[in-house]
Amino acid sequence: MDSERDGDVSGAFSRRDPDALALAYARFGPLVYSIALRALGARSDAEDVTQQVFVSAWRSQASFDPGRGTLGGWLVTIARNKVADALRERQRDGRVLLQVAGGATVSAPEAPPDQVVDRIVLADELARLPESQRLVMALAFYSDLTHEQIAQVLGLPLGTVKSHIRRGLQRLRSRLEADGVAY
Amino acid sequence: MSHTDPEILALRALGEMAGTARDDEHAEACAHCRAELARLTEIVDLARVGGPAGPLEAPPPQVWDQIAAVVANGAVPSPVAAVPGGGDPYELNGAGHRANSDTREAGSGRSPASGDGSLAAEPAAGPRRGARRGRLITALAGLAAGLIIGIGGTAGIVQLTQAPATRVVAQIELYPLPQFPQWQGATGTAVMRATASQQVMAVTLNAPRRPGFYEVWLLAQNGTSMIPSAT
Repeated sequence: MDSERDGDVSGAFSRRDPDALALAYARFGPLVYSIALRALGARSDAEDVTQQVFVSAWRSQASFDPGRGTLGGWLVTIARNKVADALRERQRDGRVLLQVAGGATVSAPEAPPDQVVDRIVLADELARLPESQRLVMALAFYSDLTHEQIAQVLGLPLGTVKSHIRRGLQRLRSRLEADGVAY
Repeated sequence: MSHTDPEILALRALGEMAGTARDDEHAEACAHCRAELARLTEIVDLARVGGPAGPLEAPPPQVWDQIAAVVANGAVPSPVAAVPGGGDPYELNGAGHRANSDTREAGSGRSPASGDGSLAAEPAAGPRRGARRGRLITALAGLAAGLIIGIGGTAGIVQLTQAPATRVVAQIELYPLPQFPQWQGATGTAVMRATASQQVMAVTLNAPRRPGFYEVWLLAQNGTSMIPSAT
């Protein structure tokens, strides 16, 4: 299962295995990059932040305690801080320009809203569901089909669809509780 | 007293009218079930905000190159080599892309320690965009076999079945699924064409005009990806 694999990555990371950073990057790179991209807009900025997050995580690896939280959640926290730094830097640049122009103050930059981060974490977990369950969840969320109609369309037994939905929601919830920020 | 069936709570969180009047009574009286439903509803709302997100985008390959360079002068092994098995979940955006670009960059002989990320990245931008297009064509061709068109609110579904044709990237006849008798007689085609810069999909549907609107969904048959596009 994916959660077990996450545990392996986390363990390797806290032991500072030589390939742990590569494993962490393969597992969480898209998550970190997506958060940065969503918050900053510019790809080049998102790439910079992604790089900073993993370099910083590796260097401060000693402060990661797998007993206190997940590797994903820890990386998300670092990502939010780096995004806030990048926004602050932007603001500083903007303020210099404004001062040159004799202009006004700029509102304080913020970390990406919790909901934005949680949505990306959720999308990451949705993408990791087994194929059939992923399709059921996508139809349950985004089409107006009832679970009976989903069962018809996909040719699945009703019980399977209901079970996919219940377990799928529980899995999303667990992931959000582990790696998200609002829960 | 036993709690409300978790499957019923899950369906209710999705907005379905599931369960019986007794479930209603219990769910209102029981703090546990009420909290459970509220939590699941939050997750459903979060998932629905802004529509389907799709698989996350993987960072471009030079990001890892730079991390590896900064951390250990390139001594850290590549994440591609390090991932066990082929189970990359980011199939559309990840594995193929990464493999293509790695090949290209290996040939470029760029020094990983150049430290001038923005300059080094420039020449790679063009070809990478090209690779992205190529990947999209592949993805759409793969999607074509499982294309489903959802019609109007809670109504019918039309499934596509033919193989892609030449010149046009993909072309498919639409016909209603047997489970939706009210849509029998509806026909249509979906044609994907490539222009110099993009792919365009035209969907022609011969179906009754009804209140509401039609929605077009692209589904990978294996559920890897769904691309909703409304009309």
